[in-house]
Amino acid sequence: MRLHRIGYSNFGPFKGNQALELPDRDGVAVIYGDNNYGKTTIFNSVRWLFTGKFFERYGQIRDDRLLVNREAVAEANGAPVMARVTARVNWRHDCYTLTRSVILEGDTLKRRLDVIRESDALSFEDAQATLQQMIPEEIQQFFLFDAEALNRYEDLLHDPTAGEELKKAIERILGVPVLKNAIKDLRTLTDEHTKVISKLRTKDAQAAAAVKQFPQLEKVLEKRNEDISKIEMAIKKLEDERSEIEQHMTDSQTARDLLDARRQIARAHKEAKKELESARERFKEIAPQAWTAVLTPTLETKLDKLRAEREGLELAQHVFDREQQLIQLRKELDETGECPCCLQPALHPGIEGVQSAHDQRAALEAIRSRIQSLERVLDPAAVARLDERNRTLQDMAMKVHDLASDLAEAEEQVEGLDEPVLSDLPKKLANTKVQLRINREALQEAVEKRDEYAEEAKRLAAIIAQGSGEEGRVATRKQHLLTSLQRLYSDAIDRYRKELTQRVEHEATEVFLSIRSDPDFVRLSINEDYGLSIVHRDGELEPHRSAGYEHIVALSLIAALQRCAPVQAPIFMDMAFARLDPKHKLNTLRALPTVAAQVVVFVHEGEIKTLEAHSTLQSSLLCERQLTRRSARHTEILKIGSS
Amino acid sequence: MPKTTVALTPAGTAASKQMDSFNMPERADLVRLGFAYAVTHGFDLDRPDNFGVPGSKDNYTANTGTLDPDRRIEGLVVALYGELDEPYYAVETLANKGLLAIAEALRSGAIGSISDLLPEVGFPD
Repeated sequence: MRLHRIGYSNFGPFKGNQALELPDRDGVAVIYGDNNYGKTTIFNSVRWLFTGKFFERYGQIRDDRLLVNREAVAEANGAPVMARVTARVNWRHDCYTLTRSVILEGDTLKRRLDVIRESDALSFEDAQATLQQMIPEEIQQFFLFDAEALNRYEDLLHDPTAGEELKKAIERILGVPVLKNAIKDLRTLTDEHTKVISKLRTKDAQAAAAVKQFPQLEKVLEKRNEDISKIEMAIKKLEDERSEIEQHMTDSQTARDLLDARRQIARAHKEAKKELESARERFKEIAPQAWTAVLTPTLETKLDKLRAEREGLELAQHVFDREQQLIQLRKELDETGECPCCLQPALHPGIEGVQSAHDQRAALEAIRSRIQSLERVLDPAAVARLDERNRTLQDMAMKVHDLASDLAEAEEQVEGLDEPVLSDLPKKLANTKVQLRINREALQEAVEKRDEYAEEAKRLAAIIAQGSGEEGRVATRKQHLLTSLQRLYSDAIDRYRKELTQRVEHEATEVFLSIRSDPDFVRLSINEDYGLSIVHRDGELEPHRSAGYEHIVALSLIAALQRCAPVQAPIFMDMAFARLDPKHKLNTLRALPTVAAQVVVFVHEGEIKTLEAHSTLQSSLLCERQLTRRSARHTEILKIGSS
Repeated sequence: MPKTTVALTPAGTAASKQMDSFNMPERADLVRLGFAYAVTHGFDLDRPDNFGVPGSKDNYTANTGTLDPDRRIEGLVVALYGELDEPYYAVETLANKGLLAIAEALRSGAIGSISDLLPEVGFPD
């Protein structure tokens, strides 16, 4: 399929009539635009055109009403406004015009789908079938992908169960189901032929007995086949359901991460509040001591001073006591005229100027009392205790405050998300997987039983055929032929798969080598689930690879699938360079023309600059367009350099 | 008749209400804190003209037995300010002045929490 033009009329931010024209040759178109300018709208509009589903962030489907340009609605003043996406494509040698539109009139919304082949308008059913054939919904992920979608390819390598749907989709794009359907058709033909054989009348008695048994067996077989069909339908339904849930889970990963983060913050906030309350209680236990703690330095200074005074007074008191003794000795000397110690006549009358100091004792007592009063209050340990508990309390209060802010922010981020639905997804997925397992087991059992009956029918048919002459023998040969063909196709599928994986590995390696910068990585190796590993020069598989290399390997796989697939269509890539360093970014850009005939890349100037695109893509650069904002609700698609 | 209550003035009561962040269990703890702050900052015992009337209708009033059950505050004020006729009158003056000063420091941002009122806690060498 080759795309020539996508036109917009009042669609999303694209007010009025605007178009993205693509030259009629192979190459890469680069669309530049800042965030919120409409890159993703163009990306999603392609999916909407083909399926009628416009995916929001987090995988939710946007209400079609919201696709109509808001400015156009306001200006229409109640008159009907049509939002439309039109594409002109060439597919299987015919030219098609595909148009999907919605018309908003007040609260009423009308939807339309028009597909015109050359100049013939198709019916609605044919239009839908045609779109599904152009790019089947199941394999759209290989034509429309963003960085997030690329992440899923890692599952193929590490988690075969999770990657099962992806593997199925890969086989679908590679055409494996065509062979599987052939086997199914052959089985139906065999069953029908068995009925033909049963109708052959035999004259032979043994054959007659077999003929008698055959209708009964035929009924049982028919019933078994019906049961198998029912189980297969149930499995298909469950697989679709699982695929849808997995898609929803992948698309809503960011939203669910936000919800998880909100839950964790809320839990942490609750716990912190509890801890804060406990810290407050612990602080309150010792808070009554705060006044003594505040006084500590004052009391210590005062006490130092008073203790010094006390020492002075105590010394004075000691001197006073000595003086008292001297006074006593003086009295005795005065009375006897001789020294009471040596009993010699006193030469001198004694010490002069001894003063009594009775009031000093009172002063000392007063100081001691003051010291005691201060010491009763002094509690130096209270300072550290109080400070420690208060700081814990303040830290906790700060933590609670910070967490409350985080929580408010997290609440804002999850506003509008359908939490019950998003939270229920993992459970729904697990239930669906259990149902799938049960049904697959039932299918296996039913198939085994059916095959037993089929064997018996074959045996009876052989008996009947032997008794039915030439006609019977021809019928038997035909049945053998059909059985052999079934086997042949079974073998063919195995062989085709093997060859396909080898081809995919070869093509993916070629693309990978053109992008990778590390010369030690010499090729890619594929497993049976289409998971790709990087092979080191020493022959070992690289056990770990960076996010950037993950991206490059996924891109190589997609390129290989495009090269090997019978379905050809343009590729649309959003945020394709987000994880890549400048060197790998340019290598990837250079490799894009080899990925598909037409590649449309959405970037902002921070990812790829216009000069880089020119010099890297050179003649493979189909066109460059700039998304320019006229207002929050009006973006224009302009050629680079025009205003 | 000795003074048997210690009360806050309207301004002192208003100031004490600004100290919820101190997490004191009782108002009496704040009164003691105001008293301690005033002592630490060497406030005098004079009551200025705008001091206000302690203990009027809506203002906090505590019995001295509640505020100072072990009479440590009484002993302290006497030890620091000398013999006083009414030690609890001095306590009342200091508590009100101290609370006003703390409230002002909170308003100006000079202090943020009770830790700012405490002396520096050093680490052992």
